[in-house]
Amino acid sequence: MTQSLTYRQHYDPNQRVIAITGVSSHIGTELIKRLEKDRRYKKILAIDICRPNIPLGKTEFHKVDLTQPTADAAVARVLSRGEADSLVHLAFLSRPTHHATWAHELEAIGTMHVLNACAACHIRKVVSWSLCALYGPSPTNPNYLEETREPECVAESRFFRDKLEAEKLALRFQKENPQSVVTILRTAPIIGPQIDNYVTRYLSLPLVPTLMGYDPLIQLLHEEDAVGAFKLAVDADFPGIFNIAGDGVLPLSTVLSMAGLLALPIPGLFTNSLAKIMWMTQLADTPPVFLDFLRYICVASTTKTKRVMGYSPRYPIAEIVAHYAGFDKRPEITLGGRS
Amino acid sequence: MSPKKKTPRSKAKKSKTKKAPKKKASKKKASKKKAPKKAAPKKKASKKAAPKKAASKKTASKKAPTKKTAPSSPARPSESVRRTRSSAEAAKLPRKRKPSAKQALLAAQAAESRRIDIQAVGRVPENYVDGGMAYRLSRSAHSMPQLPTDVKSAANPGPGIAAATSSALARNRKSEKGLLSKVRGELVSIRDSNVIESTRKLGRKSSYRAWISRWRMRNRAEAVDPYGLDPVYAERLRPMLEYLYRNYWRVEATGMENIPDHGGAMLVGNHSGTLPYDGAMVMYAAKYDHPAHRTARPLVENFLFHFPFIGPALNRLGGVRACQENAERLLNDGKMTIVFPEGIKGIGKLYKDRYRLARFGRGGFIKLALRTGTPIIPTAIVGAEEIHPVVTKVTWLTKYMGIPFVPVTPTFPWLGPLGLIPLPSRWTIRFGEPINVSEEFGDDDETNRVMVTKLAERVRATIQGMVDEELARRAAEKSGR
Repeated sequence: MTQSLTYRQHYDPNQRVIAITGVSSHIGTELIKRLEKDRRYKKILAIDICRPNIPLGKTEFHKVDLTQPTADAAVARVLSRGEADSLVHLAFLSRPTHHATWAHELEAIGTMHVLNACAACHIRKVVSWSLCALYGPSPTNPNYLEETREPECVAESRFFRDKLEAEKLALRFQKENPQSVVTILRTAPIIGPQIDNYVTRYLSLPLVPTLMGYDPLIQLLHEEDAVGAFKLAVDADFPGIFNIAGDGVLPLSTVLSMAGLLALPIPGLFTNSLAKIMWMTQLADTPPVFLDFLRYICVASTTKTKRVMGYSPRYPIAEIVAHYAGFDKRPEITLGGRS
Repeated sequence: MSPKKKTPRSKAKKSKTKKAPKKKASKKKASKKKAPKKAAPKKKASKKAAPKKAASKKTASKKAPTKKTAPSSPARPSESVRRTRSSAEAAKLPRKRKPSAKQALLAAQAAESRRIDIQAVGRVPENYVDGGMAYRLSRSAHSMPQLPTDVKSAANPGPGIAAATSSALARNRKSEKGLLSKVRGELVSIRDSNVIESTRKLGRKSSYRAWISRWRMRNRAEAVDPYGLDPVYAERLRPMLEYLYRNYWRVEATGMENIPDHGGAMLVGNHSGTLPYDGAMVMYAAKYDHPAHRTARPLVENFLFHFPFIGPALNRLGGVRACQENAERLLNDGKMTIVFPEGIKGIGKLYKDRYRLARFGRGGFIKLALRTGTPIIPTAIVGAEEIHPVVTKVTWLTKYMGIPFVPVTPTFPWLGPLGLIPLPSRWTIRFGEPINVSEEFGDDDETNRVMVTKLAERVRATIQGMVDEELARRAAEKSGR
């Protein structure tokens, strides 16, 4: 404990040590790539169960399984030995799984372990990952959801419940350790050519199911912009919750059209039972709760993020879709009719 | 290569290869080295031109005129001379040669080979495509343009079939619209490419995706405004709204000068009609009858906004879900909103209660006006309350359908969907003097509930007065007539 207290006093902004959990995720890997290039960072402590598939320069890999009961001690050991000043917590699942118990252990309990270790080592800053989807699609949602809105609409889904619990743990950590900076970045659905999550899985279906008669406005985030936001939050201190999303909204049908996907509208009567059956028989990747995202709006406001963090996403939604669909590589294909 | 054998053109090619076997061999080599891009008779042209020209739609159409001019180059050598020279050159043509002369030569040869086609086979459909499906598609797409007679007769060389085809296509492409032309453009690009390349292109997911994308985006804009208004969609539906506005309900909009040219404002009106036609008409009036062409955003009742099919359509047209956050954001951005504080009570008004304004909600619009400092423009809509004379409302079972009530009109459930056609009453929309509540009362009064209710009632009384005036005027006009 005394050791950890001393290194916090010797915090040098040009000799920083960052710990990252969940580095084999896309954001984790890309963040390491960016931090490797940045001279202000002396060392990067990568914590995961498998080594990231990139050349590691100043990155030290430490194998820690967050689902193990003594994970907090293991993380604390890594943090104190490496003299880390900040931690980026990215060990979350990017799509729902049928192994709900394991997912809970990893996301909720794993976050608890990590935060316990942070508290023990007096980590200066914790950046945690969360989702805008936690606000939940709801018929009573305004067009733009502020960070102040309580994210409790999707509590019935275990996937979101674990993420919500992780977020609450981070907020509790902030309360208990007021000297630390806790940043929670709620990202809009991230899509891109390299990323694999529930949104890209949905979009890669041969026939993309939609709900007949519903066409909500949706918001997307380019994978590079997501990494950029995390880099921004690591570089400077922004305590609080921030929505991270690309500029602009588009109706779901327009997004599918622009990507050249074929939509399969399903009449509302059968959707819930069909989705339930498909989820239970493991034919579908997502539980029926996700259907509401095809029905109601869930768009986050980035006003605060832009004002406070100075965040400006590079890709507006049309370019995100074009990049995802691979259309921007071929100049002969022009998106859209006559706009 | 199997589809090639069936084609009439390939027969012609065979005959050609007998004449010049050396040339063929050299061609094969060349085509193997590079990615084959052009149809068989034009292989030579492809040898030099292919790298420059992508197999895109645009270049395919651009390519045509160059060919047209090329064969009719002034000094035309005799056929035999030309063939031998070009074959020799094609075999080992130095790359440094000037492109113009080379191109002319190659194009001439391409034209010539096509002439041989005609001699051997007779008439070739000019939009002939390698691969059966594409051909059938183009056949069914529309009738083929007739070939010029001079091309049919081999005696008259003319500008060559390629040029004739391309010009006919270009002419036709202009007249076509929508999907057909796009598909056709794609087909032309396929026709001009090699068989392998074209089949590969057909098999590629991306080419289908591009078609799907273009077809599905025909009524859509690539960007909507932050609240979901799709300008292309709105423009598509504009003729319908215009018909309703000008011809069907013959809307007369007065008091336009009360709508500001810029800045936020709230148009507060009386709500009626089972479907929100009144909102659409007020929106239309502000957009097309106001000199500044203001876009007013109707705040749509929650149940209607999430009603299947209707909700998304309203959203694309400019509707925004009615809630404080949305309205405040809109007004702070200097946008204009259309508010019907009566809400569902207004929309489901019985015929016997027409033009009697119901309670104005909980005064949310007053709070908004106080908070954002925007003027309230009272709007009286006369005529809209008669389009669906609701005799009674059925409320049982409607809970399960997700709607508050089912109206019963003299026509509705009885005539089925036909009963949903509104009656063609004559409308008047009158915009009254702006009420600046925020000037009279401060920001603090927002919490004063009594004050808010009082102000709401005042606005309601103003609109009721305007409605009554308009009704009296209408009655006077009628009796005068």
